[in-house]
Amino acid sequence: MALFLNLQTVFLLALMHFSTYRTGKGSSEYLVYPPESINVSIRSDEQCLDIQWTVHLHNYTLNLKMIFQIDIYRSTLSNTVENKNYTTTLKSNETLQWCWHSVLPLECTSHFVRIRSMVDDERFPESRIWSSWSPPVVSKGQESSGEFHIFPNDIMYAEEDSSVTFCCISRTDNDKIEFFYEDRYMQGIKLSSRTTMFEVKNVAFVRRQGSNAYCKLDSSIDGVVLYVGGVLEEPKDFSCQTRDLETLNCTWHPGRDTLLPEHLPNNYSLFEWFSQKKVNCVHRNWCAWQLAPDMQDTYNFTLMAENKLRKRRTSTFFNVNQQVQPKFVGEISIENVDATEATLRWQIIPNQKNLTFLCQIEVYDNEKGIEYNTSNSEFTLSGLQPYTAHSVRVRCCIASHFWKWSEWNSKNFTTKEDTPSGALNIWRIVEPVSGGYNVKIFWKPLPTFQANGKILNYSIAMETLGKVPKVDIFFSDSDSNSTEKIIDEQPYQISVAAINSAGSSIPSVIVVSGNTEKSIQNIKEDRVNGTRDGIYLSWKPDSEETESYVVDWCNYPWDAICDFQWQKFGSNITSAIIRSAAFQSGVRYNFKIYGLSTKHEPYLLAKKTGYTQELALDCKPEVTVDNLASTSLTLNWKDNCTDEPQYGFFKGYHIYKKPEVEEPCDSETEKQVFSDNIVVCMYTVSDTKQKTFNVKKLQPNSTYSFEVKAFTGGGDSLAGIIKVTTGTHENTNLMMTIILPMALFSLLLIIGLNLKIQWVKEKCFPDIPDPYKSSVLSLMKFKGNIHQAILNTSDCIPDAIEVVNKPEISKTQGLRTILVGNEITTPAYLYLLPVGKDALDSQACICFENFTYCQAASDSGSCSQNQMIPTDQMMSVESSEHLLKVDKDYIRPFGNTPAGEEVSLNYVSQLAPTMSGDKGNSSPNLPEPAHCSEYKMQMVIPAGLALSFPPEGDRPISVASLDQLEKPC
Amino acid sequence: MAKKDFLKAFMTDQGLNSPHLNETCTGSSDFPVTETLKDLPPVTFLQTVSQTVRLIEQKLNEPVFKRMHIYLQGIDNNVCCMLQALLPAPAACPAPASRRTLSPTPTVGSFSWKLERCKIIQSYQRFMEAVGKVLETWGASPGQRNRKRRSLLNVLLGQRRKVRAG
Repeated sequence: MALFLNLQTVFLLALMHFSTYRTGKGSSEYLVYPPESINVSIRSDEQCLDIQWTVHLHNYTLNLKMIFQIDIYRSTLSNTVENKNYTTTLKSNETLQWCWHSVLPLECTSHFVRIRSMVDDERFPESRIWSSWSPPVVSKGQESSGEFHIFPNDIMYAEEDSSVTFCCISRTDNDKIEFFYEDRYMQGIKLSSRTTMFEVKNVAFVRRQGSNAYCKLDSSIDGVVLYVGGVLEEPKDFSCQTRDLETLNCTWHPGRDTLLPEHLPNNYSLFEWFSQKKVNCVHRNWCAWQLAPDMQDTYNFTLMAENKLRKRRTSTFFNVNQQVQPKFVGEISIENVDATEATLRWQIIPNQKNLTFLCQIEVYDNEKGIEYNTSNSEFTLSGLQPYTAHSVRVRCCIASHFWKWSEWNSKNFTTKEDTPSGALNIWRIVEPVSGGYNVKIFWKPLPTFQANGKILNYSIAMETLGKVPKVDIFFSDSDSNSTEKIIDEQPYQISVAAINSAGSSIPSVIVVSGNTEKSIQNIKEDRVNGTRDGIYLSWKPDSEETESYVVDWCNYPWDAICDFQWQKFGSNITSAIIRSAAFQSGVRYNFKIYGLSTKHEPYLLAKKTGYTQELALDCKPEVTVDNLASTSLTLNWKDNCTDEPQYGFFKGYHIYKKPEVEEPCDSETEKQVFSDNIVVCMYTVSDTKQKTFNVKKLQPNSTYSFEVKAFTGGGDSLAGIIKVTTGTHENTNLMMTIILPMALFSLLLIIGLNLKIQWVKEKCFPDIPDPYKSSVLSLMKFKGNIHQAILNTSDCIPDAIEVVNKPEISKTQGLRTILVGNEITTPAYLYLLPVGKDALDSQACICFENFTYCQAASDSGSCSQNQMIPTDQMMSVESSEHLLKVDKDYIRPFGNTPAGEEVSLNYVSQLAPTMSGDKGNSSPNLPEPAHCSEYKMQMVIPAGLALSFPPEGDRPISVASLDQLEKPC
Repeated sequence: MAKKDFLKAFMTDQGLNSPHLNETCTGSSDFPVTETLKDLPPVTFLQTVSQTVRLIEQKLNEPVFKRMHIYLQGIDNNVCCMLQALLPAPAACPAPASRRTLSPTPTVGSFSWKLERCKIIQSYQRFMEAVGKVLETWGASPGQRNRKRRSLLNVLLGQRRKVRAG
């Protein structure tokens, strides 16, 4: 081969030498093959300018690689629209061809084509020189036809969102042409005097019948229908398979509808490369292909999808033996069916080429499914449930190379009967009758998986366990679940077995004895709480000989046919929730719990009673009120509420107190807030026999509403309601009867005391007269200045103080001041009380008479003789001014002054009530000092002649200050 | 059925219901007009109707005109029934005149196809209007109050009696 190639090269080089084309006048020689016979035509349906040309070749230039440069221009070279380098390897007598797709319809204007060539072969590198351009070849447009046209004409196709170019050609130059796309006027671009180009961008689907584009020239219209379709998608999920190795079925997903009109469908075809066969598909998503199984196993398919606008293709390569989905021929058959076994047989294709299959078998009975696998075309099922309907289904695949499962092939069959397995669940009721016991034996039908067939009847054998052995056997119907027999006092062993056509079950044994029932009376019944799930029971474990526990009850305890039920538990179980679909709310269920000994003898352990859910009682107390007081009352009620099993356990009464005015609940009550936010206080009476209740701590004069309701675990019954208003407070009357008189008495007492005090005051402490208000002053008015009637201390300097009770004074201890005065005929006394306590205690009374103002003395001239002799140094220091600064001086005429001595006026200042005998103090007979526990400060204003009264209106001036007098004390 | 329904439906379907294209649809018609039809004897008239309807059927023998085609066949059948009451078969319903050679059919779905079909439907409707006007003149005697209720067949039978009597 290599030798041949070398010879060929040498031969070509030799030929080249002889056949070089001499270009021009140059001496160099090289290969130039200019294009010849250029032909240009328009393929309107594709808008393609078809360019064909040839090259004159010698035979020895076969397989020469060349480049052709193709220029396409409109009107002038400057308007070049395409410059294409077309590379090819030349072949003998071959016409070269290239199609240029134009955006502008080719009929719209003339297109000129010129071509030049160049050898582009590695063997002749020096020949890479372009030939001269060929003369231009024109493809004439219709612009000079003199006819009115639109191009493209009649029909065209475009994909959505693409741009489409139209042109309108007028008959003569510069005609006014209008262009409309779907009645929308569009502006064009003038290509020549007769040709106008219009471009519609992003065309959209409008209708299956296409969008109308037309040119209008005066009344003439020429148009084209543009069919806009979706982009043809590449087929997806292209695959092929066979069911029988005779026909291949290829499927794919074609993608979205292109919405092209029905007469422009998308075409699909299958091409197989090895056999070079092609099939046009009728359907858009599947195609059938006839296989030649003996000729070909491997296939290489190409699926081609095409429409007017686009072509798509996709391929698949496979071995047909690996893409087989088997299928069954007919139904599967079931043979040799007995109680626990059955044999399945089936036939499956393709059966050519010794293909092996894997088959999956699924067997279902009522409860479960079991799966088996086999590579055979038959399979024996074993371990089936006797007398049971079974469903079986089979599917297969190719074992050597899984492709797909076949469809399921199903069939139903029923196995034959077998002897019952297991033992019956039996229980009993023993009721004493005269001379023995009535025994009811109950059993539960065997479940299907134990019955193993149709139960024909039940055999019951009763054997005495006493001294005289006796066996009694009888049968019960298949649809019965109990039997009844009267036995004597001795215990019996009862055996029950189920019988079907294949045999009998293992007998179930129970011992019946009257002793068991006797113990029932001694066991107290306990209450139990139920839930929605059921009623919870528990019991104490019994002796080790207990084989199991049994709980029995009636589903309808109020009914004569109570639907007796029982449930067995293992010896290690001591509690259970008893559930039954028959359980209802408001029904009291009674349970008996038995232990079952190893000798099959039951004995009672406990009795329980309870509800799944209690209901409220259907009764209504009638309420009355007694002993209504302001803060308490007694509620009485009558009712027909009883502890009936239809509702719940009667637990007592609830008494709801609803005050009209909200008040807090006390400690004896429980606060209840109703849904309407009403707060009530609830008393609980736990004794169902108690029909009265004392309500205390009420507010007086308040209104309460009381509701009495019987309650159970299910809630309250209807309410007996009473509204009560409490009375006013009892103490009010008491207060009215006691406190008011007391108050009156107290008032009277106070008044009396006050009067007494006034009296005493008047008697003992009369009001101190105001000198300024004295009547004396009125008498002095006519005398002149009233101020002169009340003298200032400065006006009169005392000169003497006479101590009247000299012996007493002398005896008084602690008296600091002793006033000594001259003897006077009608003395007026000025008492100085000692400051010290001792002085008072001593009951010493110091009286002194101030003669300073004693007009009588003055008049008599004795005043000058009066002397005040301080006995105390301190007092002696006190000037007379001190005495004159007494805050209050009182002027009072001496009432007891003798009439004859009217010249003498005494003013007495008092701090203590004068004793009764004081009135006669003015008399020479002075009372005993012991009776003078007070002092008097007296100011004596002489009514004498020499005394000059101050003008009226002037304040009288005190003549002595008590303070000043006291100080020394 | 309203006589214009087919035209309106076709123009709507094809997007021709624009002012410019409406005018294009209303071209001249090759079918006989009222003036021609009213002078024809009844049998000739009915035969003309039958032939014209059959010609239209031929022109509109495309899937898109399936409903209209059935409608035209119904009219043709009715006319033939009436003719057969007047004339013995097969002369009653002659085939369309062969002289009317069909012009080359444009590509289905093309613009020229749309316009041409539009013109045919328009011509058909004009022709049927003319037929209706002629039929209204039949049996319009002054004494007949309820002439509209009188069936066309009775009219034709009356015509036949007149012909035979004459």
